[in-house]
Amino acid sequence: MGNFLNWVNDDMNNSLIRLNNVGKEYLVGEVPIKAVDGISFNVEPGELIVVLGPSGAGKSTVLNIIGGMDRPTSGEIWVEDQNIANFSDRELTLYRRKKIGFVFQFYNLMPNLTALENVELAAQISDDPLNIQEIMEAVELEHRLHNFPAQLSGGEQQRVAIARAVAKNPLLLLCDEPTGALDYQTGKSILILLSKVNRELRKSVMIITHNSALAMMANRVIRIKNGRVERIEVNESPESVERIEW
Amino acid sequence: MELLFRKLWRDIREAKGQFASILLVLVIGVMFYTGLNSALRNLDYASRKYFTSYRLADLWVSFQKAPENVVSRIQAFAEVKQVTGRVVQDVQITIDGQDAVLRLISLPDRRDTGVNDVMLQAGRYFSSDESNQCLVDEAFFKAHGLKPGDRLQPLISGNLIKLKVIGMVKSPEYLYQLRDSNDMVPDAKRFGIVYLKKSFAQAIFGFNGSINDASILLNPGVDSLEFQAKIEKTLQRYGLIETTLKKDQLSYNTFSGDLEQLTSLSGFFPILFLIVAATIIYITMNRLIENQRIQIGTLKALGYTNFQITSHYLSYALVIGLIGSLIGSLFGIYLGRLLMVMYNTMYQLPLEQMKSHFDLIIPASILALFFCGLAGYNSCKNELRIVPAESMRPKAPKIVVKTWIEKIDWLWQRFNFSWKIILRNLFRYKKRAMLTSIGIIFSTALLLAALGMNTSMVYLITQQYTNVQKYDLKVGFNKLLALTDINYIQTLPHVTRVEPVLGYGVELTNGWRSKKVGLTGLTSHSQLYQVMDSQGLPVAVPERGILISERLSQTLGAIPGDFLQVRPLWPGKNDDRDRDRDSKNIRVRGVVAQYIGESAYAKLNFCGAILQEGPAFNQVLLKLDHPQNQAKVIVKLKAMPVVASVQSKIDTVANIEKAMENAVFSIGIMIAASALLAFAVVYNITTINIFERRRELATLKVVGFTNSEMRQLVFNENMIITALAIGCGLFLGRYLLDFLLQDAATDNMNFPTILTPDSYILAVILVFTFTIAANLILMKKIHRINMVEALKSSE
Repeated sequence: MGNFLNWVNDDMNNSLIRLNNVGKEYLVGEVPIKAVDGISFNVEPGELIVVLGPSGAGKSTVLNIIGGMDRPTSGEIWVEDQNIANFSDRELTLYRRKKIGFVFQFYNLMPNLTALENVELAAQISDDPLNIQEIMEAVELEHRLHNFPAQLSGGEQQRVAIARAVAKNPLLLLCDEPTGALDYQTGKSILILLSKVNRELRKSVMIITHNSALAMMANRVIRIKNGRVERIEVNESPESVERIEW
Repeated sequence: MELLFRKLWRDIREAKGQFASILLVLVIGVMFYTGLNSALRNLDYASRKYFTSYRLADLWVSFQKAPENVVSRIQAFAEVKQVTGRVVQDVQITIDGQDAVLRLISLPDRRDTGVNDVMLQAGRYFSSDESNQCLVDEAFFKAHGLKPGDRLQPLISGNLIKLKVIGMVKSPEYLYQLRDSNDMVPDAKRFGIVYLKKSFAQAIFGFNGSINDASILLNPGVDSLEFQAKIEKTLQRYGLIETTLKKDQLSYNTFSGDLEQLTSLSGFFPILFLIVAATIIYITMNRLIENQRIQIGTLKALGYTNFQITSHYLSYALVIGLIGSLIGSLFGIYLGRLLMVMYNTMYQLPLEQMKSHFDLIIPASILALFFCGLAGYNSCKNELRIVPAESMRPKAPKIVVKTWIEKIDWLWQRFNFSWKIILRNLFRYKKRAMLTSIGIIFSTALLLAALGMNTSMVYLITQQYTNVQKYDLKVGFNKLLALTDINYIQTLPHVTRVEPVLGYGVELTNGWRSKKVGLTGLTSHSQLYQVMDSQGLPVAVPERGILISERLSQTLGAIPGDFLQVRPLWPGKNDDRDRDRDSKNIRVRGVVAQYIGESAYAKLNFCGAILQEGPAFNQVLLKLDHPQNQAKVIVKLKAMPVVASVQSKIDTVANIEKAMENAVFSIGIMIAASALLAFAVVYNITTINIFERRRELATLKVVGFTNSEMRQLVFNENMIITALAIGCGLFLGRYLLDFLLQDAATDNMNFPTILTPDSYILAVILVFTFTIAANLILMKKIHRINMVEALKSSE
């Protein structure tokens, strides 16, 4: 019921992203397993969205699909009036390049490139990259530019990953459990950074987490369970991260 | 793309051990291929240049005695480019107390550019002074320490004629200095070529205005066989004895055979080697790149295209390929020169300049680059086909099933934890174990094949000179003797057994196929010459009919029961112009194994009958009480006027071993290269294994395994895989040897496939030693695994 109301309420033509009954099915041996079973929601420009749900609910799968890293087996995903569900490999590659910035739980930095080089790697394939020096300052890593990932702490690595994602100047920043491997303090600082990116750089940010306390920082909270949207909540006035305790 | 190159460069630097070992395999493969082949090419090129520069004849015609104008008759043929008339005669000489034979050949009185010319090495050509000036071939000259100004006194028509040595020469006609097809090995001391002024030669042999040899150079494009038939018809009325094509000429034929054998001995091996190297490179690159799975996925997620990613990894492969090919080629050229010089100690060909064979380097490099490139491309292809999400997910572990060995409870309980890990790894990751093994299987096979070539050769010599030729001395007479003449020899001190032998050249014909070989007539129950079959079992010589060697049987297409035409090549016996009348039809009674030379065997009496003589013989085989006494016996034998030559087995073996030096050397190189490859492969594989398992090993270290426990874990697993791989390799190696030896056989020599237990043991020991050595060297790597760093990555 909540789904339907939200869908009706939102102005469809202004939405950044529209998922329409998206499904993802795997065949494990002979048995089909539905990781995502008919998910629909919208992402408005400039929103910070938190996707909540227990482990195995299908959150990562949805993020991967939105990020063009996986293909749905059913449904449509409209991004700026194009249905990426039908994109060819090449089109998906360009989509990822130009529209998406992805932050992984385990950073996935190139081990043999420095922090600066890792960010440059992304910047150089973008049409309109942001200024790298500024980004590095924004993530407070201006003194660690020439260190290799192995020489950085978890938090620092994640910041490099965020810088890398943001440098491309994407439409949408997708973060899959970005604080999963970090302690409370560090995790919090990462989330502060992400909301900074959302507010100051005006980028739509989507964060997956299983920590329900973080719902307070979002403009929109999407709760997913068993591959379906359980409910969608809209926050009129999101909390700033510093004030959230968990 | 500059950043990706930086990544490439740093990746290589980090895993330099692995890349270095791939490089090593590549370098060895290319080097060996280029080196061996270019040495052979150079040899071929040098010889061809030599033959052309000194106008080696295409066709020899020998007459009893033909008038000089026959030369112009021959020149009249359109096919003939040039023809030179000569006088050729073999004479006896005693020099330095030894008996020898000189082949006297005439050369133009004044320096000219005739057919079968000579290359002046020292001294000068004939001058218009003394008529008895002579030029001596280099080998004989050096063997007897001659100097210009020395005198030679051969026995010519019953008189001792003085010849004055004025120079030393070399001739392409006698690259291999063999007197006739009975000689298997050149004996520079006992056979020499001496060139005389034509006018002088004609005078002393009573050949005024006549010649007995015409050396013919044909125009390019002429079919020599056709021409041979044509000219034989024309020259019959001049007292033609026979014609010989270049390809059948003794020296050329033997040299070609050598070259052919060297080529095939080393011919296929380098290619095989290169292919093995390429396969190993492929497998290794594949693994290296697959280990970069997550990075590939990340690049894809960032939005790099497949093309960009593939190019990046392709460049890994190509960088290695390029560097390896370059280094390998350089080393290869160097090796080629070295080998060429080694081979040439036998032939003493003039080597003015040696070419660098770019047409060898390029295929080898291309092949290597191709395999590297293929590896790079294929490895990425798999990762790039799937969506990034999947490639970044750690590979799902295989469905874990209890392996069969675990099901045997009582056995499984007995293993300690380390062994459980090892066995599980082996059984679960069969693919990885197999890929590891392939490298070892191939290098073991190559090594065994190379060792086997050596043992086969040793067997060949042993067999021939211990089991077949059981005599100590072989005496040749200058005429046919009757059995009663043997008595004197039998009474000589130290002689324990004497057996007469009738040996002469024959031409065997089966339909359109024919071959000139030696026919050896043995006495009944010969103890000094044992003919064997391919199993090494003695074969009885039949009363009638002949035995032929296996190779002869193949050449003539004749099997036991078939009839062959036998035409004796006995001087004086076949001056009958009608060839066919001299031929007899003889039945083949059996096929024997013969590794050196090519002969037919029959009973002494039977051979005599072919010549229409009674039981006569022209050779005897002697057995002495002690081989050391041979010198004394030889002296007495030489004193006999009927004795033409004495061959000592010990000396013959020494000569053969010298003749085979080149072959032995090539094989030595093959063994060394195989060993080197085996080591590189083992090192390669071990490095990659450790690198792939570093997370696993780091975890063990964290858990509390000591360094030596981890060492054992890795070591033991490697040992088991190695042991199994060696087993397969030995098996494969035997077939490889069969194949290589078949390829290496020529008319003069063919090799039985002999692998002694020693070869197997040596191969096993070597490969194991390399494995142990590689493991020891790399042990440090295991110790140095940084637990923290290795565990940081999310794989």
